[in-house]
Formats: sequence, C-alpha cells, structure tokens
Amino acid sequence: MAEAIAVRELVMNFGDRAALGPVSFTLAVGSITALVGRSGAGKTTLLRCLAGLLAPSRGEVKTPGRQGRPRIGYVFQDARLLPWLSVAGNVAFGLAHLPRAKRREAVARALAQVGLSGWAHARPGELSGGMAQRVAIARALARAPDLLLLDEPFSALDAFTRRHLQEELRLLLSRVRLTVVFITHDLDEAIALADRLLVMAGPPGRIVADLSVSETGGALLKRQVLALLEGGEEEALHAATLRLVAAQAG
Amino acid sequence: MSLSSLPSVSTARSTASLATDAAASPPRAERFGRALLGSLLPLFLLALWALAAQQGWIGRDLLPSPGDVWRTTEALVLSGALFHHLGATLARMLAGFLIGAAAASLLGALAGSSRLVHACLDPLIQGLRSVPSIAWVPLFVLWFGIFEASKIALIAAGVFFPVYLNLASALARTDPRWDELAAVCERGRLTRFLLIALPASLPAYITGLRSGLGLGWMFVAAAELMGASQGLGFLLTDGEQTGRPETVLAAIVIFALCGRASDRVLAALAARLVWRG
Repeated sequence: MAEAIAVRELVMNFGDRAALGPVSFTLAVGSITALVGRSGAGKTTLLRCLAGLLAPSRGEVKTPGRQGRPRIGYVFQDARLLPWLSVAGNVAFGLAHLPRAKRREAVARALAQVGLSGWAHARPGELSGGMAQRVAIARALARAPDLLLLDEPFSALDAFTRRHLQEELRLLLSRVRLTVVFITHDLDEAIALADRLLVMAGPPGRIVADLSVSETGGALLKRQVLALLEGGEEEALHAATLRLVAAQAG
Repeated sequence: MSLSSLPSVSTARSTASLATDAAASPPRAERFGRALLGSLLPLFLLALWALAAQQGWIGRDLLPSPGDVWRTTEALVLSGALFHHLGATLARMLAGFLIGAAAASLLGALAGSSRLVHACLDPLIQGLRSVPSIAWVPLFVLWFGIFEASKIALIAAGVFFPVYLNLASALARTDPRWDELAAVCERGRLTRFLLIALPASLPAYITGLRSGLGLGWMFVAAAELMGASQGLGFLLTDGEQTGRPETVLAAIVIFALCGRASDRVLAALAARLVWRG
C-alpha cells in the first residue's frame, strides 16, 4: 500500500532532556493508527512533531510524492474554537488556501459530515461540549488533510457523549479515506477506531510494539496491550510484545 | 446513529441561547428592581440636602438648596450659556480622547504584538505613567500655549495610559493555544494578529477605553480649572470666584451626567462589538 507519511529516526529533546526517540515508522494511505501508552511516553510530542508544532531535534517527517510538509488537520484535546467567530467561521479558519466559493463549499460539506449543517451561524458559546468538538473535527476535515491528527479528542467529554462521538467518528472515517493518527488512553476506543496500534513507552518515548487490529482479536489485543503497559522493564515489554505477536500470528 | 439525534445536542442551543440572552439583558422586572435599588441612596441624600438647606443647618452661601441649583441650571439652559460651555468641554474632551486613544491604540498594538517593541517602549511608558498627569501642565503650557492645545494634550495624556496598558497587556497575554491552532491551520502573522489577537484583546481594550474616558473627564475638568474662558470647568471657577455655589453645583451635576452618559454610550458600543464566550 502507498505510503502517506514516513517518519525516520525522529528524536525530540527539550534542552538536555530526551523526550522522544529515535522513532521510525511509515503510515499507509488511508490507515488509522492509534498511539497508546502511559503518560510521559511521548505520544503528544510525537503527534506535535508530525503536525509541525515542534521542530524535531533530529530525523524527519516525509510525505512521499508530495512537495513540502503534509497538509495537517489537527483536533486538539479541547475544541479550541474562536469564540468571536461563528461555527462556519471557525471551520473556515483553516481554509485560507481556498478561494471564497470553494471555502464555502468545504465548510458546508464538513459541517454536513459531522451533522451540524443547521449550526453554521451559531456561536461557539451556544454549543455543548460534544458539538464543539464536532466543529473542531469539521475544521480539521474541511482542510482535506494528508494527515488527520487527533490528540485525545474526546477526553474532556462525559462518557455518554464520548461513546456517541467515537461511534460517529468511526462511521465518518469509514466514509472518508484519510490517513489518521490519534492518541487515546482508552484502549476500547483505540481498538474500535484504529487498524493499527503503536504502543509507546518512555521517557524518552519510543515505540515498543506495532500491532495490527484484527477483526476478531479485540479482547485479546486489549489484554496484551495492558500487559505491555503494566510491565515496567524493557525485557518484560519485549517478552510481552513477542507473546502478543505470536498470539496474533496464531 | 447520528449525533444530531442526541438529546443533549437538541436542547443545547435553546439552553445556551437563553443563558446568553439572559446575560446580555436581564428581565425587565429585574432591571427595574436594580434601578430602584440604585436610586435609593441618591434620593435619600437629595432629601437630606433639601432638608439641610430648608432648616438652615448649613448656610446658603455654602450649600444652596436643590431648588436653587435647579433654577440656576434652568437659567443657564434658557440663556444658552450651558450649551456654549458644554459644547466647549465636549469638543476638548472628544479631541483629547480621540488623540490619546489613537496614540495608545497604535503603541499598545505594537508593544503587545512584538517583544522587541515591548522591550524598547514599555519601560519608558511605565516610567512616564508614574508621573502625576497634572505635573505635565507647566510643560504643556510652555509647549502648546495656554489655549486649546495644552488642554487637549493634558486630556490625551490622561486617556493614553489606561488604554495603552490594557491593550498591550491583553495582546501580550493572548492564549498561546490560539497560536498552535493558527500554526496547524497555516495562518500567517498578520492573520493571527487580526483574527486572533485583536478580537481576543477586545474586552480588555474596551475596559481600557472606558477607564481612559473616565480619566479624560477628570482631566478636562482639571484643564479648565487651570485657566479657561469657556467650558464646564470655567463655570466651576466662575461660580467659586463670584460666590455662587449653585453654579458650582450645577456644573458638577452636569459633569456627572456627561461622564455617565458617555460611559453608557461606550458600554453600549462594547456590548455590540465584544464577543461572549
């Protein structure tokens, strides 16, 4: 399958402190990858490097077949809507590269995708938390990104709304063919949405397992990832990874 | 399942709209209640003042009755003198406010959006802020003469500092999370300034303008007290020098009404301009 993103020997240091890497991996076009791991494992640092919000100390993020940096759609933990703009204005905020007519079309399409067509003129203050996060997703989708990055997009929401948004996002991602990387602490969410899990440990953050999510192996996968994350030593992590890979192969 | 079918979603807008509307304008009965409560103390003081004047507790040459003040105001209106003096004061106030606010807006925007400009400019302005504005009077008189220009300069100096400080600090404190959003949306510096920093700073800027307006009224009175042949401040000195306290009190009341009215105009303008989160 064609590569959308290639990450090579990415390292991020904050002063003397090594925060990430080196990490290397590739993302296939249309793949959905979940970054899972404990706090401090470098997930957000990796995502921010992918987004260009952090300039890596070493290594590179390449987009084969495209000049320059990939176009990014980024959904933050908080919706981060500009309260002085309407919902449509917020969605259009990332569309400066489009002419006005196309921008309007892209906004309408993205709002329709998240089920908020009737809310274009509403102000962010009028939205519930779940709706605000859907506007943030629409803003990211409207950019027609090469890479959609989501940093725990539903973590600030109540469990009920989170479940509904997860389901909605799953349906949405099945309709649009986007390359997606998202961070989650919820393994059920990771297994439900992703076709691949990158399990990270650290600091410094590194990828300790690269697992594909099979149709039937969700429960097993979850147990194994939990075993990975609960193990402390490198050897234990390695052994657990091998067990997991063997279980998947079997 | 579509998210739009969620009950929390379908009710959120009406609830939020009500909350926003309620914040914007309280119910009529509540507004009336507040106005009534706020007028109790002034009415009590007015009654006490009338009683004190009627009973002769304080001599009329020091504290005339409210009726005397009213009659003086009426006479000033009928003769046209009030409009002449009020017009002179308003013209000075408007000129000083616009010059002070414009200079402060320009320098505040520069200092708030550039660390280099802030580092160069802010220590000087903070130093100048420590100088009591009245202390500028002799210098302004020397520089601009004793007529209009020095008075307008003094008002502008009074308006300048709160507007500058509020705008510069609000711009400098713009939430860095907005910068991240602008970066992932590939927005340039100018767009970030126009679409993020400026609107984010607007509430603090309006507060600065209102504080500046209040100080402007203080300084127009001070400037006119120091030497003017027309204006409400002139009415104050004229009343004092000719032993007519009712004229002094009439001018004070008109100053208060003008200050309050201009602040309400600015507040109404702010209510239209400023976003609500």
